[in-house]
Amino acid sequence: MSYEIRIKNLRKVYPDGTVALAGVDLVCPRSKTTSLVGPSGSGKSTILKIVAGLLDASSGQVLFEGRDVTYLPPEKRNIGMVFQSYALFPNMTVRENVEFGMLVRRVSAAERRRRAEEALETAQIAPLANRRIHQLSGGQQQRVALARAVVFQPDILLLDEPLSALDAKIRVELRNELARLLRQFGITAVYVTHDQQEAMSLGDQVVVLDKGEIMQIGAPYEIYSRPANDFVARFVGSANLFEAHIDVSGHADGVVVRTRFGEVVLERRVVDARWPDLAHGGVNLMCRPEDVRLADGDEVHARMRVVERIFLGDRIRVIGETEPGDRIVIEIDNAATVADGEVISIVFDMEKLHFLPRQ
Amino acid sequence: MNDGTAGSTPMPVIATKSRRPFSAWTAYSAAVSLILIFAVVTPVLICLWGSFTTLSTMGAASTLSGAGWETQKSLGIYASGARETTGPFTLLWYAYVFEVYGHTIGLSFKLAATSILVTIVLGVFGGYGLVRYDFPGKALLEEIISIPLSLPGISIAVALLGTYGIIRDSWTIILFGHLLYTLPFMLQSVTSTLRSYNFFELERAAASLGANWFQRLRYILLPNLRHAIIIGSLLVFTISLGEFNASFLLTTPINLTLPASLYDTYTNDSFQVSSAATSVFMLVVIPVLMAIQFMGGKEMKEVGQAA
Repeated sequence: MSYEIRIKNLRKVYPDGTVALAGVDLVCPRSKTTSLVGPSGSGKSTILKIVAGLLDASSGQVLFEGRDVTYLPPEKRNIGMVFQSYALFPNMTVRENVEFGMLVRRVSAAERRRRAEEALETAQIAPLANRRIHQLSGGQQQRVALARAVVFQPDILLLDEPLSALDAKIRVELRNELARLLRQFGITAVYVTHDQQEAMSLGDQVVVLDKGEIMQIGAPYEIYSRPANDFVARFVGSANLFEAHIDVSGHADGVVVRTRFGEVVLERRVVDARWPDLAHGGVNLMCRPEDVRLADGDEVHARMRVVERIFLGDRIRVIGETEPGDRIVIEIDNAATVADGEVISIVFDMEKLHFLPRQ
Repeated sequence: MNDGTAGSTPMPVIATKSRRPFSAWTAYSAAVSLILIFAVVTPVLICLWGSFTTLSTMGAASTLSGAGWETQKSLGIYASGARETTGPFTLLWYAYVFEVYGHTIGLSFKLAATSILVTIVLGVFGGYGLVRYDFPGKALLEEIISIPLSLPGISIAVALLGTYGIIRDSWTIILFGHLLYTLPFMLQSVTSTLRSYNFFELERAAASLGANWFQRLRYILLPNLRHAIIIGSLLVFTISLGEFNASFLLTTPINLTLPASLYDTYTNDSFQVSSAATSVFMLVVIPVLMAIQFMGGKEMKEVGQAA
């Protein structure tokens, strides 16, 4: 049984006046994973703890499938939670840890044993069943924590930066497995992380937070290619942001976008389809480094002087300056030859351009 | 050597156990240690010897005088008589001690065991509250609990008699005195464990998995405090059994603790009898300590550090 979570106008203010959450509204759809992502202090862990019942909200409501659980203690919410520090019980073996959720729900010993065995198999740690937790590596401990949190079939799974304490390689491995397992279980999950890659690869829905407020909610691709503001644009990836001016009537066939380094004309039907709210006036033009390539034909959108080149393996990151002096970062094919100080011509992928309100 | 020149010899990768030649320093420290050990152990040895001997030595009390003499005479126990019947060594002194003061062993154990149980309950719940919650006056409360340790036992006893005079005849007033001295140790043992690792995160995890307060107590709190409770119990047992300062004033001839009975023998009885009583005390305490040590295993190392 998997529940939908509804958060209504959640506020959390600490006695010293710090506002951790400034009135958040959110719906976490049934059986889907919602990622909460943002920098430290953005309120993502606060939301999770309030949903878990480990922290009281100052005001607002939390509803599980319509039922108001705001004042319910955590043990009555039927949730499963995975902590950043794993929080495995040192006085129990791996198997006993996994059985704990069922033990406190008075499931029979035989049934507990059977289901724990299944969970251990799924998490690929069956051979470790009788070990003590201090004998396990970080990655193994995290698998135990996950098995423990799902084995008794909770309505909701909450994960608080579960991969942050692991080294990079294990993190990526576990991230992929986690994604697979979350889909397999089909449970409503809320995943908190400060890593945008994790958030976007694991979340069906991504919520970007900053300073206790929601910046944007959407599918990963939407968040990445159509961020709602500067903060989101920069947080989920590298972004080039340029001041631009929209002139809707300047050209017969389209909309003129004027920037400091040049002008482009966008087809009117494209503009109407993708940015229906684009109005005459000042905006920020966003372009991601990978959506720029070296000009190879007649079309040139801008010129830049190369300041620095970084070889990334599959691409080369070129940092430079446009003629008016704006900093720009592009990523090009790894076989391209470009020299420091050289002035190169570049072309933007028009499909990928995005406009943000100017702030 | 690491003198920076090319061709210097590399430092050995594995440190070898250096074998120091027998030096003057070793001899000196060995000698001092032996003297100190001897100085401490000698009184114990003399005590043991005194408890068996029939020689009339060590003061007037070993001859026919003193308040205990009447009892001794009625029981037919006196030094010269014993010498005639059993020779240089006898068990009469032990027989006398067990006859007259045997019940004090029972009471002392009862007090120690009760102290352990009460301090465990107070220490676990009180310690949990002190560490988990912040409330005004918390630091002050912790200080107040430790104050009895710095007050003379006699003044504590007087205070207890003044407050609980109505239960003067009961052994529970002695228990209160013992608790005042032992509770701070159990409490400190519990709170330092709770503070030292993220126990409360474990409790949150248990709550998130569905455990109510009783299940958290049973499966998480108590098992993880086992270590602290054993150390605390060791300290409580030792302190309670040996407690004299306050107990002396709180005891009555009916409710007599073992250390208080020792005092009785020192003032009223012969050297031989007092030695026997002292030896009984040591014989009672040491095996129990060793048994608990065996049970606690590695916990014992930290008692030395805590005490």
